[in-house]
Amino acid sequence: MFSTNNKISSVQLKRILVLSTVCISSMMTTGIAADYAVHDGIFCILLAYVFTLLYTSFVLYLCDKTEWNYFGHMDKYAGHKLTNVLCLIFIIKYIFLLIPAVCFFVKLSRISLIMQRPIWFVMLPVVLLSLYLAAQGLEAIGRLAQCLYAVTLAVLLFILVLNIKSIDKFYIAPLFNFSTRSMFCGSLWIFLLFSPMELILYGSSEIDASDYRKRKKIKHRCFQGVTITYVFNLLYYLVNVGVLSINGIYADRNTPATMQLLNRIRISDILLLFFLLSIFFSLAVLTLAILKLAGRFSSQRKITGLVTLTGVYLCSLTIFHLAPEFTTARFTSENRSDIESRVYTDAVILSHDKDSGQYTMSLVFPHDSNGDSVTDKVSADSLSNLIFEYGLHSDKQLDFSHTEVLLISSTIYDSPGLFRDTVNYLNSLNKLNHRTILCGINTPPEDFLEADKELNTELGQYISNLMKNNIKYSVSTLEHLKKVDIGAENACIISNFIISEGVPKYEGCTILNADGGIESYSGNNAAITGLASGKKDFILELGSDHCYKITDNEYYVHNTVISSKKLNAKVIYTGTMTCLKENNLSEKEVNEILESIIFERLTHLKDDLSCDLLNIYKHLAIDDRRLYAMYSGNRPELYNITYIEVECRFTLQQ
Amino acid sequence: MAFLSCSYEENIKYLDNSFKNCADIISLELNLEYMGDSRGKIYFVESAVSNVTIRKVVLGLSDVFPLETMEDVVSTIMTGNAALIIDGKNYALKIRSDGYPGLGVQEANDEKVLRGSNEGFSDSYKTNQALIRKRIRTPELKIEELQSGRRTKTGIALLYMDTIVRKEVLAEVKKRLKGFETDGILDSGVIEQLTMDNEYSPFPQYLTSERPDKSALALLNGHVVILVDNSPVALILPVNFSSFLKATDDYYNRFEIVSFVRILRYIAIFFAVSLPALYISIMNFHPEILPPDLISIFSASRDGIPYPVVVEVLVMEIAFELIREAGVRIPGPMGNTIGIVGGLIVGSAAVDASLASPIIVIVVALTALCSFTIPNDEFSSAFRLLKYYLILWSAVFGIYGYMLGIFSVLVHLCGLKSYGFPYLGPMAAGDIDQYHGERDFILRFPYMHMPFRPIFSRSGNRRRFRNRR
Repeated sequence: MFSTNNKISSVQLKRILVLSTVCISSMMTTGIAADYAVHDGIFCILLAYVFTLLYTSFVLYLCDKTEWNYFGHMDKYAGHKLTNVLCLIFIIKYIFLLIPAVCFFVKLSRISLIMQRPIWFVMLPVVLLSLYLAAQGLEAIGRLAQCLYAVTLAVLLFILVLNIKSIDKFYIAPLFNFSTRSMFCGSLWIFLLFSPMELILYGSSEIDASDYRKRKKIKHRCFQGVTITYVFNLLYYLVNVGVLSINGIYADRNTPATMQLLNRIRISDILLLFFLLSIFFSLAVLTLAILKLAGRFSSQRKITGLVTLTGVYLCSLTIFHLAPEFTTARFTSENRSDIESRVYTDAVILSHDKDSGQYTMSLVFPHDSNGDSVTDKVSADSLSNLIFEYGLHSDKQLDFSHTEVLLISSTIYDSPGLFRDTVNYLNSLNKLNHRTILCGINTPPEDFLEADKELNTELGQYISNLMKNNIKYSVSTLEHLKKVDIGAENACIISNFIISEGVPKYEGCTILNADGGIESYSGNNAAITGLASGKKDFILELGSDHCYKITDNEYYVHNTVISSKKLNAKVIYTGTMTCLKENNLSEKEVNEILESIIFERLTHLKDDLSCDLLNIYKHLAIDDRRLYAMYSGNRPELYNITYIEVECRFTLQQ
Repeated sequence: MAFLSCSYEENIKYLDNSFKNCADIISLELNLEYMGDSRGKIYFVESAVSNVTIRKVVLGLSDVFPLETMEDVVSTIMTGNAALIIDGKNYALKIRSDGYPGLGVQEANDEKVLRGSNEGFSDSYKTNQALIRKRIRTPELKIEELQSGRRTKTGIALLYMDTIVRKEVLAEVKKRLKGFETDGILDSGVIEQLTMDNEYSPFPQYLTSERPDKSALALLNGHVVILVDNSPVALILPVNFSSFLKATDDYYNRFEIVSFVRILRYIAIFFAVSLPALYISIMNFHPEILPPDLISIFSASRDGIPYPVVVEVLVMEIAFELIREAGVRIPGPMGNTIGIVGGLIVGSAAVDASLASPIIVIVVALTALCSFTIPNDEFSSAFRLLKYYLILWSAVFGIYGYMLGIFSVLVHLCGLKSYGFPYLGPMAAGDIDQYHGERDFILRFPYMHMPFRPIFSRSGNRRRFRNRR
């Protein structure tokens, strides 16, 4: 009858190979490559690609020589006993791969998807489903692979595309810093992730290789599959490192870099599902391998399958509870509850009272059905008790997932200790998303709570709209703060607000580094800081007679001289300015004035306040890897020998 | 072109050979008194030519025309007339009759189309055979009759195109039809359940149809059609997932609108099975997915509801199922009234009494609408059941459970076959026919770009269309 040959085609084989390796490797490769070779992780991946190609060629060669029935051939020529020993080795290898794969799957699910159900309860359906799919045979796996292939790869690409604009190319460099030995070790670990390629070997009798033409197609498709997977691995490495930076990857080692990338997207949970679906493939393929090979030792396939899987299940549970990688992972710490049992914050204001030592969290919620303001305030001796204190007088659970704006009082960011505590606390607040805008305030929070009553929309929404529509040049989010915290950036600029005539008004900016606020600026000084930091779409006044709109502004840093005692960092600004008042200055004159004011600002920050506003080190290191190696652990030393030079090449439009 | 010869035996032999295995073509030997007691043999389609016409032939009173070639004779018979072969004559006589059954046949109530014939099958399988024969006027259409049921001796007709059908599929069908013994077969549904590949699967493995044109199209695509006496529903096999999502008028309308409607159907399937489960997942486990404005709407809608989201969803779904069943069983206009009254009570009053939120009423209504969009009722029933399966998964694990549920359904579908053909074709195993099946899958290509029959037809005879422009 049609299709009773129980064989899979080369297309299905390719798709199985891709799906069983692409998601699990995209999750793990970045971490492995970064661990072993930091920025040279690209070469780790490329080297692993070469290993995988060679290994695949070897496996295909074996299949050809054994007429696409490897174990049958081994039985015939090497004897049953020796073949059984070989099978046993394979079984042990796959069990050792399956157990961490199951643990990894459950870990990913528990980080983001499900509330704290018992691990055994979460792990059981995973194992059973893998057995169900494996029991259907390779043909069913092949069909499933064909169905899910395009959708899964499209989702993987979609995730990349969503994050492309957040890539900072300076995070990816510099290259050629690390030893070949570390690269080699990293590549071996990446190569190990591609063990499902051995499907070609133990499943060779189920692959349709009936004639020479089909065998040629199989080879071609296997190499295609390997290439596609590695292309994805490479792209994910580049995007992960470009967006999160190497520091970001190290900062949360228990969460794979790709998961961190996913968590930046609102629909991350749904996208994660596709990853998990594909990781199921890896589990199913490994389970199939174990069942097929174990089938040689017992004719009772169902019992063998159940026994093997019970063993895998129990071992996975044990490993999950014992291995630090899983026990210390940051799982969803809050209990999930119904939507109506939660209250969603629109804006959060954190402040600290020096006299009483109390932290205060002021909360702005969405207006009620009558359009009235809904606010609340809670105080505690420590930040960690704030939510607890809130719970003492409210029947609902606080949910920060839709917080538009986080306002931090100057009483917090002016004190390094308080600021560090606050940053750590914000990191622990689950679901406080990276898109939340960060602002500073100098006035009491009560003024802002009062202002919420006057506004047509909620306070957070108002400030968010204000910044997105009008003050675009000065938007900093929690993500920027996180980058400063992990050392990927040196400083970030937050906007300050006051309440004027009952509404929030932009007042200036504050530069923050890892220890808190460095300096605050208002009025034209804030504009100069913005200019120096490469912002655009704002007004700059040079004296009372000259007023310009900066419509474009970019900078790059170029080192002109390098020695062990002196480094010249030339910062070149390019952009467009439009004259708003009648102007009697030439373009050259304007550029010279800008050079002097930017130079004064940058050197003041560097020399007097030890603040590297532009993260010059990041820019210099991309050109010179010796610099990167010399100063990666000692930036203040670098700044001591760095001299800034500024050149402005703005185009003046009348 | 084959001409009639004067040899009676030769003429008879030719025609008998042509109509071999055509049970609906009747041939009668006659003694033609008005032609000097000559031997004659009359050929006709059983249900198309009445006894009155035959008597007229015997008595020599009829409206006749001479036919000189065998092709004319065959064509005459296929068009519902009778042909008389006379011993010693090198011509045949065409005897006109009333032709095939016309509007006496009932409308296909369960498969409405906007364009195309409205004829539906009747209870008589002979009539149904004629309805199909009317559409496929070639002796390649073979009709083999069997009997099944120890006591009912129900007639079963196996229809297939001799040059198009796969022999192995045909052999398997016959094997399965003979592979059981039972008291009686009262409907095609019994045959379906006794011969399907996987009796535990909620997914149908036969396509059912009340429409002769759909059955005829299936035959031209290489399927086998089973007609059962006293059943107005034909069984079409083998099938795959996409067969259930194609309506008959998909091939009568332009490809743009058909493609659009098919995309709607696939979206409808997704929502028919997933919407309540996703609603539970998002409301209970992942409200952060929702934009801020929707959060407040959803949250406010649940105010005052005394039970959890899962209970609310289950109660509303079951209430809707009750209304649906009641509407089906109650005859006449009362059935429609029940639907309206039930909807009003369950919908409006429940919301007013804070027994249900407005959002859940919308969810349930949308789910129902989506399930009604599926052209095949058995297929839509599978999703009605699976909906509850996914609801349970989502209630326990949230969106993770939803994923597990969907995945287990996909795994089941991947292992399902219909007479050896993968159920998920052409999505799965599409490369077997060089992806030609994908031209008539979610999107339907223009007719000119679908020159090949689907994978169900015999390889080596897949081309059905050639453009001569």
